[in-house]
Amino acid sequence: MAPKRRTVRDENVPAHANVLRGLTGPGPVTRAEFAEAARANHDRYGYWGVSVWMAVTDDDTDQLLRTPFARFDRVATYRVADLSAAGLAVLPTGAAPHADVVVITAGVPADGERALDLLLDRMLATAHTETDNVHVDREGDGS
Amino acid sequence: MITIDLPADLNFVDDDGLNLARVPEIGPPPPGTVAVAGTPSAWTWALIVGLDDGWVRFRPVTAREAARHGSLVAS
Repeated sequence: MAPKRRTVRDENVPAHANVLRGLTGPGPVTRAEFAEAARANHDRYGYWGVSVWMAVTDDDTDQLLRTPFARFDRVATYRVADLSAAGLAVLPTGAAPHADVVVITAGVPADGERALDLLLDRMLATAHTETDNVHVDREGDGS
Repeated sequence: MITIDLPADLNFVDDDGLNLARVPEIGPPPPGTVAVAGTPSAWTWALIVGLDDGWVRFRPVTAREAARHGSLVAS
């Protein structure tokens, strides 16, 4: 199946912003988790990308933790500036505030095998925090 | 331990803001039904919205909304 066209929003990504990613496993972020996320994005949209959500303010973060992150026990938070320093870019994609962490080559998100390794290596090496989501609400009913 | 019907990364959404999961080997769940989507560590009740080129599109819903669309007892 041909990859779908991914909408890239015409939106500034401030260096002081954070991006959050809900952890899909019980422990710290892993290469396997990022690899699965990147492969899914590649199969759907034709480039390696790891889904994250942008938060510019503390209120943005709080809103994300309540929804859509209410189903995640734990959340990883990265600073956009740290990702940039590691050679990664945050591409505002799809419906706000969704974004993808990507490797950019020749002005576009990279899709070669080498780019996948670079993406995974750089994400794993980037400083971040992992915290419990105090707003976790698995059933979505406020309980 | 929760039984996952639809393995998915709940961070992954399409341009409409709907979550995406690969169609499972047992076949796609019918649109309009509910399933448990995600991983054992991060899961949600999911209302199946539709299918799209090998992907299931779904919307996370509350347990209450899920119950309106079908049984919440695992079969």
